[in-house]
Amino acid sequence: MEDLIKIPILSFYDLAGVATPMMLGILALAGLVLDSWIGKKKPSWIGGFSLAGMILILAFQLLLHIGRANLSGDLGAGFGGLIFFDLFGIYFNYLFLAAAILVTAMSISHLEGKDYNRGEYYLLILIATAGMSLMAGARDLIMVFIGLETMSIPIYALAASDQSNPKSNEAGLKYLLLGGFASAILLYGIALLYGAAGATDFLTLSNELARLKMPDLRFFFMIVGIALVVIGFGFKVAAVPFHMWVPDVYEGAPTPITAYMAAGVKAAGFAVLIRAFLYAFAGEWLQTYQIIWILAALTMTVGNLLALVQNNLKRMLAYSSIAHAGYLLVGMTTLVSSNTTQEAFSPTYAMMYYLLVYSFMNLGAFAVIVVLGRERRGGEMIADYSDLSRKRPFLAVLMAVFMFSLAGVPPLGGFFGKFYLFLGAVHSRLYWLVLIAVLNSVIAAFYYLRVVYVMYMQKEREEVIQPGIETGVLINTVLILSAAMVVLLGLVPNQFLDIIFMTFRKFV
Amino acid sequence: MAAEAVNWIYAAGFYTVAGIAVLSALIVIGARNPVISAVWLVVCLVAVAGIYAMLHAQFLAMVQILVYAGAVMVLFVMIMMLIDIGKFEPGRKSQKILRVIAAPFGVAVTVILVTLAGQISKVKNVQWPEPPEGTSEKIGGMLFTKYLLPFEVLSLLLLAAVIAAIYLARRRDREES
Repeated sequence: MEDLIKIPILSFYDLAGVATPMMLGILALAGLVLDSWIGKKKPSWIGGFSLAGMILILAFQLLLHIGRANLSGDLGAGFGGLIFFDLFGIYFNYLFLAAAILVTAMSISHLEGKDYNRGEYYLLILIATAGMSLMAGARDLIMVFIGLETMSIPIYALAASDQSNPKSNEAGLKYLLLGGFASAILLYGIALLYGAAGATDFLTLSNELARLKMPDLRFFFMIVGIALVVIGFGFKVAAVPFHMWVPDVYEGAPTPITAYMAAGVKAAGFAVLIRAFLYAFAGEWLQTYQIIWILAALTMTVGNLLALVQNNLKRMLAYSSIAHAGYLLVGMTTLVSSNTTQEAFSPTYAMMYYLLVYSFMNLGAFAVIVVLGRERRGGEMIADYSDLSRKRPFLAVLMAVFMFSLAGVPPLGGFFGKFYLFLGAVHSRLYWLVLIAVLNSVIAAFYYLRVVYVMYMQKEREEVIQPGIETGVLINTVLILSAAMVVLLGLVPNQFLDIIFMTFRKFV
Repeated sequence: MAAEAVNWIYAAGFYTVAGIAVLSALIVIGARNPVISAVWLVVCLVAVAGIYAMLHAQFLAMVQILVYAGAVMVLFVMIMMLIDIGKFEPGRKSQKILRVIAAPFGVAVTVILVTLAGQISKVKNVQWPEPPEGTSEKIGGMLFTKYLLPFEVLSLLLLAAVIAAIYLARRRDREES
């Protein structure tokens, strides 16, 4: 009996590693209690409560960050080696929390007076964020999978939350079915890896991959398992050909949730992919990177070409989100094709920076849709934006900033994001891929700038806008914060990259 | 000699159980009447439990029968009864075209898989990792030591599922009041 039950000794670092998801979970539980008390009459208060809590947790990240930066070495061994406590995870926690805060603020404004404005909505956002945080810290495929499900299940429900809108129901059901399918594929991949390597933790996997060679059946099963894991995450990050759900789900889901899917879910998916390819699947065998090369090229091209013909702004942003997954996959290709771990860090920074910029651009653009949705019917069609510059000059300027940044116009964050990604790919001699990526950026500029054109040049056909409606402090804060981040990240990209670099310097 | 006989018996058992699982799964997706699908799904799940038992995962086999073949299937049948779905409508024309397009891909995948299986069966002397023991004692020990964290996170996941279900289901009564 003695050898069987070894009670794990939890160190301070173990708790620090799971502090963020734990606090988010506790916040959700406290919110649940509060919800049963005042939720029926004042559901927005639950939103305010979770907003305040998340701001505190974000501030706490700073503490964790400073604490972790002063420690060196690998501090992820606790909890049976299932979770990392490192700066990579903390960086993504910042990102997820910032996104969740902005989404919650947007939601309070968006849900006002709607029949699905209920406390649970905000709590589900909290639990989804906890899941993302666990994914970014995971050091074992079991943890990755459970984090993924903790993130996905709340988002399925949130996508379906507007039940009076058939499109929202469709979005929820589609996302649930395809997400479940993707999870099953991912789990099958994990099972194959477990069967071949005898464990699911990243260290054992990389050791086995380094030890085994091709004629060995175990190696073969591991490669198949990795392919299935990549497919599973391909669904989550919306890579072509696993993108079919994206347009319908993005269009049907309530706008703040769409923003959360674009910012949070995608970042979480890429965090796991980066981590897995840096630690678990690393090694010389990675000649299979051609698969990711093809995925990247396909994803960019299909996303951009289909975005060209969209008239609905949310649908257009959905295809644009596919295209941006393609640019990020260029970074993945660079990472996978690098020979040493040191070399792989450079595309990693580029992707981390890009994910941050991308999140703020999207959150901002979707916040504009929320504002217009409050003021007029819809606000989702691109035609709704005609003449916006005259009626709401400030809103039009902000929207133009987000669109220019998404298109990658120089002084803004979106440009530098792409620049660093493509530069890394050039260094790794992926010339053809970079060529495809640059051509795609040119195509993309067309549909982003079309929105700007409609806002500034096109006269409104019918008077649908009612100028002078109060937008609300919260949503304005979201807009200004997102725009400020996009501009700031563009003005001082080097300083930001330095910060990201710092997150890796003392790492391992 | 005796070891060989054991191997033969084991192989015969495996192919019987696996064959039942595959065949019943085919009936599940082929049947027009969802109740028939549900019943065959029970057969499939029990057959899979048999495979677990043969792999020395006795606890998992029992859980498979209790939870999946038992509880989950009862839920399926309950819901079928409640919403009264009847028989599946035959597919629309576009779906039929899709089926025609999908058929060659299905055949191609089958050919690839069979070829691979043929190649794989030729490989000998693979050192597979030792399978862990599947007794409830071992699983319980693992759950509360090495896998403590995922075990705890699962409770958050289940809570999320409950909140999500309540959030989606409770709206109706609000409209009535």
